[in-house]
Amino acid sequence: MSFLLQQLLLHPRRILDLDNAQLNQLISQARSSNLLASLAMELASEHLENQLSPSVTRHFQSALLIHEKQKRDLDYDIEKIRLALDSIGEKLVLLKGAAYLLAELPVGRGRLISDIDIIVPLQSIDPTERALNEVGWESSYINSYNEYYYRKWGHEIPPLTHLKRGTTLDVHHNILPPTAGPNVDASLLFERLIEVKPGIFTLSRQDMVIHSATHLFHEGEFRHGLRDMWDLDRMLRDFPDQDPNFWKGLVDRGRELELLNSLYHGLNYAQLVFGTPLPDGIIKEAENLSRRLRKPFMDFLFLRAFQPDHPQCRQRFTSLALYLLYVRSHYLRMPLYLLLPHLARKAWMRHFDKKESLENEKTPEAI
Amino acid sequence: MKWRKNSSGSFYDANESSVVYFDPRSGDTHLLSDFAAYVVQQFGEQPRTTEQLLNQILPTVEQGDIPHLTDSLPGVLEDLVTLDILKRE
Amino acid sequence: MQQLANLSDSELNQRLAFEGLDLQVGPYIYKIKTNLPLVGSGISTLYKNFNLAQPEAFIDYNVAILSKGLLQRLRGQSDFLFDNTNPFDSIPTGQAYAFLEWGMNWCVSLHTNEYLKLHAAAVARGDHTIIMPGVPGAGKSTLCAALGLSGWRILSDEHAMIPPNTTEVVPLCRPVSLKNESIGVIKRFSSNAIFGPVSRETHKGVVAHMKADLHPQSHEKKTLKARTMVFPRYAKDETQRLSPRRRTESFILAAYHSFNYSLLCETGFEAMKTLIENVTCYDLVYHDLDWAVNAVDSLADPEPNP
Repeated sequence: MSFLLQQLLLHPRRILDLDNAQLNQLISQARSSNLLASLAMELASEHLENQLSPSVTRHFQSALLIHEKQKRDLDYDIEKIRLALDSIGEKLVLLKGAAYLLAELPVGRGRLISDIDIIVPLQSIDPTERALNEVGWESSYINSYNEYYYRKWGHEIPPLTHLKRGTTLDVHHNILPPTAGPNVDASLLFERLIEVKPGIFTLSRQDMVIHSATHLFHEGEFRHGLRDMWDLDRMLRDFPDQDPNFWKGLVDRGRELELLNSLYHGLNYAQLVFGTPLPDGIIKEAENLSRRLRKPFMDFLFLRAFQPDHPQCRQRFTSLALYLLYVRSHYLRMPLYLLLPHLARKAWMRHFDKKESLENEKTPEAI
Repeated sequence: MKWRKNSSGSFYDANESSVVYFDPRSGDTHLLSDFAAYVVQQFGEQPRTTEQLLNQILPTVEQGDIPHLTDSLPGVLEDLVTLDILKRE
Repeated sequence: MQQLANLSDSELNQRLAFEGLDLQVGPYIYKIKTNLPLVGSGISTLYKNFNLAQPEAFIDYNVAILSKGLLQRLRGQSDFLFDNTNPFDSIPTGQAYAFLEWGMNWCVSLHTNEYLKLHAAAVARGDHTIIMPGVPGAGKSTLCAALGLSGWRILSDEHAMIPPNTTEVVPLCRPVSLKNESIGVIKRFSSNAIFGPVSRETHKGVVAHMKADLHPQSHEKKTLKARTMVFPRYAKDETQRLSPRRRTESFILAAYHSFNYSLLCETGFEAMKTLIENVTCYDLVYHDLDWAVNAVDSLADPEPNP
């Protein structure tokens, strides 16, 4: 792995050796992988930002400002969501980016988020949605097919958007949809929550890692593959220091949640992409326990998907690899007979979603 | 019932009938009437009842404005709660 | 400094097709690539007097508009690329020039935050600099183009960039985007207007861009002190007027028409406060362009010579 962005995330000091063309390449790779603020934080931790020219530094500063603003908005929104859930006697449990930021974990340093993910028990989904509706979170899906799909086959309700603030909230009742194959008993997740601020919880460290790996290999979001791998790397480097028993139970927990396959791939590829230090034998252990996959084929898919989303990194087969992964991730989530109509509709609808973003390109932000 | 300020924000007062208020907690910027802005400025760390606020405000305004301001204060406080600048306790 | 005009046609096409054309645009450098002749000719018309970046300079924004592969060409489709990835859907090749300009705006709107960025035009004459915020359809670009054709220097048609806690405007001169009837209005206003390719049936209707660097100092980088903020509004059936407006309301409106006021939090509030405290604010309601230009002239030159 010799790509610029991966190198610089791990060894930020090397930025001082780059010429302008390489700096341009680095910043555009980081920007398109949603890792510009993460990289900026790595540079800041070694006080490198002032050693670069102002025309370069301003791009890092800009990304950091976005990150700072997201953290502030998150604090505000989370407090409102906590109160809404509290009114129905439900705990606020954060997932993914929102959890990393609120818990002030190293994995949250410079982490940009696009929405807030929370999880509640399945039986609380309806009261949760009603309580959130009352404080301004409304379903943004008026499109009946998507709505139907989410409710019938999903592990979350359609995304809610706050009328005034424009923030998006994903309410999950499981970390994988019921159609995914592995049958995750979500109640197990609720047994090991960590309270990070009064009334605000995250999954346990082991479950956060497993969920991150699961998300990486089961959701169709491989465009952010490198960012997700960076999340895993940061967690796997940090968590063992916080919890001496972290490694010990990780594989067992993966098996208990029936997510050993994802865990195995997550560990394996974090090590391949970022050289994440792992204790001896853990990959073997996870691999032996997990169902053997056709590994050479999987390597072909994953290593390409985890490159920054950037043509200088795109090897010849990347589009094919991305396509196959997208299909695979849907295959993992849904019985095959459901797969084709959904993909077809999704491609069709995406056309309109995307077009909208350009039409709004000049819409000034609300204040 | 008491009212409490949610956070300490910044004002831009240009001696007009409206005042700009930036709320650092929500990140929102509001255009408040000069009276609403004055009400917000009366709050310190401690919560206040409507009566306490009236006692604080009325001696500082012109005699002729008193009935009108007394009448409008409850509505102004409600509006400030809706904007999340104040909260009820 | 070398201008685009110094390049021969074949050198320009070579750069656009292969290594990229590095243009200095205000404080930023764009690298532009395209394989579409229409876009190439638009660039050579509208950016003719722009400076080329110094060789080996740091590039801020890589943009491209490309029709790739036989299939896309047969369908008459192109892609806008930013950082070599495609943030938007494919667009009809006939509209490619308009999308290049919008894409170049989008880079600045979304990816820089060292300035308070207002969605506003900015123009200057002598030492008088005016910021003109406006919603789409308010006639901001039409007025900006007419002022540019009447001796004013166009600092920007789209982004008024203010370094926080100053009242300075950072020049970012790029072609002025005109839509539908305003294209004809400007052609009638002055025969000196130079237009690039016309894009039809876009989501904004017919769009054409006007060369904006008509002033000898168009490409100077020095910032200029803002003196006035004018909120133009085109209204066919209203009495034309230039009237003072309240500072607090101007604050809110300018903040609403900002790309990053909210993102900058306290810095944004303080920056806007400094700006608004130090400019005079006006409403400009107009339907006759000559009248509007005269009204703006009168701000810079309160006692015009008879």
